[in-house]
Amino acid sequence: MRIKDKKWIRIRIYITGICFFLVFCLIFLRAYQLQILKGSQLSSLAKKGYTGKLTLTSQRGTIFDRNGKELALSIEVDSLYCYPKKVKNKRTTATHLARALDLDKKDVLKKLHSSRPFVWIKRKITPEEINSVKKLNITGIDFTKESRRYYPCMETGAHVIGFASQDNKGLEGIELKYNRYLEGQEARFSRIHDALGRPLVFDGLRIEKQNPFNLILTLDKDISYKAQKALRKAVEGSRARSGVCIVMRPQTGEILAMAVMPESNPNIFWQYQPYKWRNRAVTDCFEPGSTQKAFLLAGALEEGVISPETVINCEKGEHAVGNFIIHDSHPFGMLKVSEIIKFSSNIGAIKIGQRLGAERFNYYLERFGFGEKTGIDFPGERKGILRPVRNMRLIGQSTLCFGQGISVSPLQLAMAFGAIANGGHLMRPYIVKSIVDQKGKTIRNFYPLIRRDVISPETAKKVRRVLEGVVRKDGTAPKAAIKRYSAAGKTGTAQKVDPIKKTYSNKKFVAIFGGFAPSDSPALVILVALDEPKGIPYGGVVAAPVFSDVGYWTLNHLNVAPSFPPAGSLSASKARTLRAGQRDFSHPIERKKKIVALSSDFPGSIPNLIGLGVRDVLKKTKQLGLKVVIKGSGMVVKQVPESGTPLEKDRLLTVIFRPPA
Amino acid sequence: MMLFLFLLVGISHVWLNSKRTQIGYSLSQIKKEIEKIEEYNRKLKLEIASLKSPECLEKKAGEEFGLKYPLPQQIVFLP
Repeated sequence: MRIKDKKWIRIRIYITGICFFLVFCLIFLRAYQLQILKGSQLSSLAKKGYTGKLTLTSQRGTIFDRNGKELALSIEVDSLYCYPKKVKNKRTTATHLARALDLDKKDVLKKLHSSRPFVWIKRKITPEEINSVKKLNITGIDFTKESRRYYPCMETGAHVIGFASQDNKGLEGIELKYNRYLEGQEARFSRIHDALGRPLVFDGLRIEKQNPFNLILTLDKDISYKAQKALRKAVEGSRARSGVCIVMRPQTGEILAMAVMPESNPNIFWQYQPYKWRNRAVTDCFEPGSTQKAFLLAGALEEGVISPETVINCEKGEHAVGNFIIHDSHPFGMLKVSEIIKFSSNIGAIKIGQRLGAERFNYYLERFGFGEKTGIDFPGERKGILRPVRNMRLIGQSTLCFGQGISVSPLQLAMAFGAIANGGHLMRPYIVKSIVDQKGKTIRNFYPLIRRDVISPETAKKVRRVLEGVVRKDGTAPKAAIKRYSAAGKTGTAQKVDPIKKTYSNKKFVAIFGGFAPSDSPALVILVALDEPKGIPYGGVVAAPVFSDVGYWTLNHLNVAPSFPPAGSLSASKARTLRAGQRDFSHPIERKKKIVALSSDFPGSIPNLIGLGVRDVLKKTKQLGLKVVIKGSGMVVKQVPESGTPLEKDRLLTVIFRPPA
Repeated sequence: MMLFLFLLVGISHVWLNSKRTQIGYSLSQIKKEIEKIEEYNRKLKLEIASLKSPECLEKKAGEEFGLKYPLPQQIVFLP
């Protein structure tokens, strides 16, 4: 090979090398550009291709009653939507869909012609509707899951629970007030999917997730049902415009029931007019009428200006205040204070009010919580109207004594009666007992709260005694008497103001009865108010039977000992003694039980061990947690204390054994 | 030897990846199944709650079993 050729080969090698070098440089630069300069941007672009975001709207929390029974819960239901551009033959599709879903054909067609990319056809449809739509096999329509709220007890407690919208937002009642706890938050997940969009794995990149909380209410659904049923009967019977029945525990302020008429079913709330959604127990105010006299009495007794035995002249039913003449429904002469309340004399009340003084009476009304919100955990509460004394004329001050010129809500009235029932403490009413998470762990508890002490326990007791007279045969509300239980309360028949004439109407009344039972140790406060009953409008006639009916049923339901047991049964006081462990064998039924106790084991007492062996004695006493001293062997011949003696903690039992003969 | 090791690592890598995908599929399937069962459970709870509502119980007790509320004299108080 010539030298020239060799040189040319070397040059070619160099040229090739340089070319390769340049190509590698280019590749390197491109790699640098892709990996380093645009790396993060491109990798996120790629990630978008194989990952997707899944948004789960959490189900709304459940609402339970005080016994753990569901009052409101959510389940998933299907909703039907469509992509209008993908739907072919819109007219036929609309006809089929309208028939399957019971919709108007024109509306469906309008939706299918929509320019929007996504349109709801019908939300929250039934399983039957799903099947019939699936059979049609239409392209461009699909289903998605949505949460729907159900209220299994329907009208019962409906005004307290309220309701939630289709979009899971609370709109009324507890659903609205506690929306932020019940609603939960949206949960967003990142997931990796394959080319067909099927989820492969949730990569755990949870952005946010907060489960909704459940609520436990103070309501008892059985008592609520009873209250609603009794109120419905009274409202329909008296053809009243509306009605309210509140059942409350006076010692704690827990609301057990809050029935309201006219009623509405929260499952289909949109079919009712908004005025039927309102919880009138909290949002409506009226004049309390003669129920006011109970608080006048409490104030006057507390101040010591009268006693239940003080005699007052009721002036034969006519009393002049300035230029006005005040009348009583019946002419009364000299009456004791207790009789003034019992017969509900307006003139007597004015005279008690005069002794107490308008300033002091107003002070007590304020102390009883009138003119201010009760602080209940419920939206839309109204505080009513209590005017200052300086803004009142003499006639206003006088009529205030029998409940005119003041406006109160049924709940305020119930709480004020509660203060008389529980010994003078004005409680804060509450509906939610606790907030729990999905696993049942308590997040927040709500406790009874004493707002203030209004009257002394002694005064409260005196007022209770006087109010017992109202439900007696000769009182204004014998229909409020509860069989077997002592009851106390006060009637009210408040005239409504005619908005046109701007005077008190002689045709429109609010019939009220507020009271508690059993009157010696009240377990319940019940307030019943009926708006504009037709026919006889008296509280003692139309509202009192609801008090009696609901009271009797609820006291039985709560296992409250009767105050007056029938002949042959145990008295309440004896029953209490027995429960305390001191058995009384003088009662005929108890004597019978004594015999039973000797022959077999009586719960809560020391068992009969006579005739048993050591092993059986040890087994039995271990179950009961008793300490045993064993003397001798064989069979039990004697035991100290004897069988039937009430069980006590750390009781020492001596058992004497003898070998069988 | 090196080639063998290289092959082994490669095959294991492919196997692990396919296994991961399989498990991913079955996991999402099981999750769906759990959701379905939980939802069914909720629906049953609703049915129980509806059947146990006082109105329904009262109706069934009266119409199907002929039960009535006890009269005051039929109630015996026990301590």
